[in-house]
Amino acid sequence: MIPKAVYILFGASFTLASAYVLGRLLLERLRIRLYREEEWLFGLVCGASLLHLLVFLLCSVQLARKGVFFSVGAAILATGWAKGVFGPSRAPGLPPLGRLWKWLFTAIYLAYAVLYLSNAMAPEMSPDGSSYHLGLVARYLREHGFSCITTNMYANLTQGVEMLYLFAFAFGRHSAAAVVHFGFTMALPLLILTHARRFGLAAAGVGAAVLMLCAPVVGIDGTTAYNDVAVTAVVFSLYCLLEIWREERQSALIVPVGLLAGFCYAGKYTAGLAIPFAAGFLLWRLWRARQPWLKPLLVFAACAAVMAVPWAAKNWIIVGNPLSPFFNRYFPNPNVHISFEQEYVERMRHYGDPKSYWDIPMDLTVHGAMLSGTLGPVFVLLPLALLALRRPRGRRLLAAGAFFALPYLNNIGTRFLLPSLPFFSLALAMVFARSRGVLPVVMAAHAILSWPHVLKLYSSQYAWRLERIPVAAALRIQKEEKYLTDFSYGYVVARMIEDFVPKGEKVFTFGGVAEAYTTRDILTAYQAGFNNNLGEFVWAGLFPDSAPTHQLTYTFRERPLRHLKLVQNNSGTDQWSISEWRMYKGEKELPRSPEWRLRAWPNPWDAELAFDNSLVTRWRSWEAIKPGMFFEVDLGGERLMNSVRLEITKDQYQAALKLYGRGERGDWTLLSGAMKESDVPLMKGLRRAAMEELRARGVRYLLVAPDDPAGQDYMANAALWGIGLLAERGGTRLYRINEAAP
Amino acid sequence: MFRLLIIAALLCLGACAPEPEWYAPPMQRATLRGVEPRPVGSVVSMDSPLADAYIVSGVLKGDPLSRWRWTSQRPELRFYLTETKGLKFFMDFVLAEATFQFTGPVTVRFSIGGKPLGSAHYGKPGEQHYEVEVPGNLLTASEPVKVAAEVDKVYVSPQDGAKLGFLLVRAGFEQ
Repeated sequence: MIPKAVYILFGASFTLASAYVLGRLLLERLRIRLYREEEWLFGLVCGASLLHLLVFLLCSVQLARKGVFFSVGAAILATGWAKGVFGPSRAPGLPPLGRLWKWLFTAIYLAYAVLYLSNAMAPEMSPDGSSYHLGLVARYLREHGFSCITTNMYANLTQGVEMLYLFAFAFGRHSAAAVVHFGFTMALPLLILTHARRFGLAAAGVGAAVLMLCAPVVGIDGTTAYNDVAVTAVVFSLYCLLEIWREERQSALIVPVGLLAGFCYAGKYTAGLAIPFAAGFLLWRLWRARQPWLKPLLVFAACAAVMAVPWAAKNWIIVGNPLSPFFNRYFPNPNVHISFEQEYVERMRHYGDPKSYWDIPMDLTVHGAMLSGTLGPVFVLLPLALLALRRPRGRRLLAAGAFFALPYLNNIGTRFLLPSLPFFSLALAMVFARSRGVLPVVMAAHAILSWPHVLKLYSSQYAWRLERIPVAAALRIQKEEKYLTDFSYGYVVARMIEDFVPKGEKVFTFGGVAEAYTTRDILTAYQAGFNNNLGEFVWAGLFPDSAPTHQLTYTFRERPLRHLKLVQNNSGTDQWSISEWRMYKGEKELPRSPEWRLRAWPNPWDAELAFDNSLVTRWRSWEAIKPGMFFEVDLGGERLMNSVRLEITKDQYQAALKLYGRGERGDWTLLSGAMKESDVPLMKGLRRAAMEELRARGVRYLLVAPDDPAGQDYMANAALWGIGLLAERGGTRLYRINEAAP
Repeated sequence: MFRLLIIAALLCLGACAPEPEWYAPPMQRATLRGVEPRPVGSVVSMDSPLADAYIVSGVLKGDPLSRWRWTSQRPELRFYLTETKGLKFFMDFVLAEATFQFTGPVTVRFSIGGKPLGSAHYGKPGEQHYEVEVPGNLLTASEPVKVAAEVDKVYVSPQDGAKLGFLLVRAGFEQ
């Protein structure tokens, strides 16, 4: 039997080799003149962009299968072999490194390569990697491509690097994906070094490469199925190619520049800044040199679009917003609510709620708990990099670093600084390199202080960091199941779901799940509009404030009306909602008819929830109130009535409503002259009604974490909810929703 | 002129807002009857999957479906009763030898809604059964009835400082 480790290494190396060959073929086709070392590295990065596109296309036509990937990869490698990609290069090599630098760099590089490879090959259990990065990859492979996923906003993010993971995952599963990331992690320092050597900054290049390589957040991120370090490698490659173009003006370079800029966007939205960066760079340089700019810019734009547009098109088709899960105000859709987007962006902006902005530098460089990871204490010296402003190259590096650090203003997690880190590292190393003996000391200190066994002595115990050198787990001498059970609670919960929930069933939860380890459909409350509604139903059963305990009754002279329109006229922070809208003639409610038509703005898609006779569902604006929001009813013909009653929740004090009506003809007339407000007692049976709503939407299972807001109530009132406990692992409970009594 | 036209066309496009679609009323849900079943009954065994629903406080988590569960010094349970007259409260529990070595004989005081119900002294470890008739005025059928059993001496774990009272097996009200 072939050891699992072989599959992992095959999956990763097959993917990286396929990418490398594609990139080399492209560079040769374009006849771009590079140094030998640059051919290897840019070959890998440019090829990754092409391979990602190939996998995207295969996913789009439902051909994401192991056999197809093998055939495609084998064809690429065979073509590369035939074209001499694996043979000796005719390109010249870069000037050699000095002996001290060479030995110092090699020693540190190899030590960290062993550390990182063992972690990358160990069973994958990173929070985001095992939840959505690989959760989606596993799903694409199961479903042989993209499916219409509208209940997971992470499926709407660009997943350029994940396309490479998918290629590797097909052969070596989770760890193969992490090893692909490891490949980029090890390529990035070499890219920095190569760039520096080309421009005569070899010593600074060695220093910057080590600063980048050993940074603890690079270690933990770049050896798991995250994508930040890979994206950083693409961003820096783009900068290197732009610098080469600046020096040599090889027009063919515009093609890989465009492809990489587009691939940055495909890799991560925040790295999409690479497109304006590169476009601005090209335009500025051509303009200053009084050279034609339109054609190069068009070539650049076309190449970038090839990489970026497929992702926007996929989102537009599936979720109605090319930039989902962001910009929902400009592309309204039912899949990601505007209020959620605002909360999400706000949460990312403040992360672990720092008491003061002065906490951020210490957490970034030493503690690493609040911002999820640390750069290492040496980066406390980062302000010294400003001394590099004295040299043009230093200015360009710092400007690029500052530009790619812009997304950090919106997400202060440490890893969101990674795209700017190679630039800052090189600028800092340029400063140190000017003082004899300083740089080797800084490099050695950084390498030692960032080693896991040293790091744990001073960083927070909750810092996101590598903790061990798991060689036995990497080689699967220690069983994968045992390792994951010992170290990953998320895995244990995912396996509970797999064991107790039948295939094809949906599980609703308020928290996250390691979806990469379960094949069941997980609906997490915050991850989509549909799921938000499921959470709302549960909350209505749980909290009186989320249930309709308030009524607005509009009484008017009896008259025939066909159209009624409720208009909201205030601004504020509350959201507007209607649990039930009822119309009366005297004491008798007008029976609802299939001829009726309802519409609302915003959130027209949930208008039905105000007319379903359920007290746990409600139409909701899902954004803060503003004048002009409305809810309109067309009765299909005139009906006699004299009052309208709205059953609402109390959480909307700021809403100011006016009710208008009109018959078949005529103008809108204000009906809301006499409005009476009243409280009504909380109706019993809401818990069971909430579960019925979940069942009606195909959800029959609930996963409840120990800190779940509904956890205690589920436990104490299982009979009222109509749920039965199926299993429990470490405090997380799995319930089945019982069928309603006839 | 051509550029101006393009800009004007783009501005017009930008001013367009989609009209929201019309929807028909959906299938109507059954009207709630305003009643719901009681969440708990009058007797609980610790091996019941619904045991947690009866626990108000003071019962530690155990293995799922285990026959007994450790209590702290003052476990409190809740029950729903359909009638209040002629009922006896009972509790089956075990005084573990391992803890009895440290505590020696113990007294357990029972109360309902904070009002004393009775007490018992136990001079040796092992399985115990407590039973007492309950005056009707201590009980209600409209709200949950909360019963507490407070043990005067507990074993304190040297490892984690956990206070252990006794092993609860079954409790409740019966005729």
